[in-house]
Amino acid sequence: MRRDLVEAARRGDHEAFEVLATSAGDRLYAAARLILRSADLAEDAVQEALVRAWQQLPSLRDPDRFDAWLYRLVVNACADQGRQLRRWSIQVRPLPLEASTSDDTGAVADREQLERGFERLRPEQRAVVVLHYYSGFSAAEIARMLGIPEGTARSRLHYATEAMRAALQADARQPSAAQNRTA
Amino acid sequence: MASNRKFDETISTWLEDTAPTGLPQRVLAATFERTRSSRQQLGWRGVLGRLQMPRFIPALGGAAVVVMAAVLALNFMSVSGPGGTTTTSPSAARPATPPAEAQVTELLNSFLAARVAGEGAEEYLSISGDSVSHCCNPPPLLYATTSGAPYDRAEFEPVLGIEWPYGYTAFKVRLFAGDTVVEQLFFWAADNHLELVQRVRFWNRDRANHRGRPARGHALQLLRRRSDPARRPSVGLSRLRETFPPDPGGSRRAADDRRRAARRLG
Repeated sequence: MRRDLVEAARRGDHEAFEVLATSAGDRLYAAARLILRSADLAEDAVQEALVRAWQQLPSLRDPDRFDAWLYRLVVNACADQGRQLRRWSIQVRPLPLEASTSDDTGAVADREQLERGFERLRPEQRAVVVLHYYSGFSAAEIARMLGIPEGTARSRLHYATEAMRAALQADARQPSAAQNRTA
Repeated sequence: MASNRKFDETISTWLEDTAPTGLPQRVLAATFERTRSSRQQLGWRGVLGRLQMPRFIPALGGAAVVVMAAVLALNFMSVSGPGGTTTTSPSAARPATPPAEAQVTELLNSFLAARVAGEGAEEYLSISGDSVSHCCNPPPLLYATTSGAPYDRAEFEPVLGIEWPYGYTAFKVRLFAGDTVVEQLFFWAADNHLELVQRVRFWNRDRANHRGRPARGHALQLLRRRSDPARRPSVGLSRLRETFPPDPGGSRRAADDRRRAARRLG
């Protein structure tokens, strides 16, 4: 069914494409917003990606890879948005932090540190983190999706994770250091 | 290991908690408005994809390609010498020598003479390529500067550093109109076609009133002479400062020769 829709959209069927885009929109927007940490930028990125998808759909070789291809377009659009702003990490507006009652990640301070650690990542590292930890793709799938070697995907994931871990650990060290100084 | 898994879960949970709920409808609406007013880019794959044909047709096409390749290969082998050495036609090989100096000199001389004379230069030109579609026809500054001053003389010289046969042979052309100099850069394409890419800039000779910004570049094609040579004015304009040595020993040696020639000629 989905393949039929992709085939129809490839042949220029607007309605088929709109069904596909509507069904994928939420997932793409979530990924874009997590990567960019900005609602406005994410909306622009998703719109650009979907327009490019429509225009370039006839060049898609395998209709079964439509979803992965869409993610790739969104990640590229996110990178474009970041390039336009030049200073990705400074220009973006952090998402508001909301304390959750079902919060099993620890304190709100941990979230803030994760946020800061994430903001320091390069766009391509952010994309890999989001695609892996949020969208649930493996490193191999991400590599195929983004057209990069699997080793590169693993490397980006590793460094990104370590950077975020370092941000949390730095936060953990600061109170103890302060206690030592006051002692 | 356990702490790694815990940290992975921490990141996942954090991302899920901060993820938005859904794409706003207005974004989808704006997107569809754009897609409905834009056309799909049809590459060869897209065109093939839109063709309604039985599945065996592409396979048949592939088989035909294979057969053609085999026929060509057999044909190629049949012209090989008895000792197994392959003979290739001269036209198949890329020319290893630069265009004849006389050919270039004659063409540029005639072209520039017509520009100084104020007529006939169009016969040498045809505009080609997409880059010119937004530009101009006829090309700018053909017979006069932007202020309308006609040219009184012209000169050209090869530009060093653009190596044959790896790229283009470049010529810097200057047309003088009083104190104003129009400088244009032409490239002689390596495939021996007289296709030239022209970029124009101009300045006043004293440089005090430098006009600075180059005009928009555009592609021109300088054609072989189409009119009767006797009809064109014969004005001795060229000041060819360098010859084009053959390049049997590689581009580096040729470049060295050119640099020595340039130093010798000042």
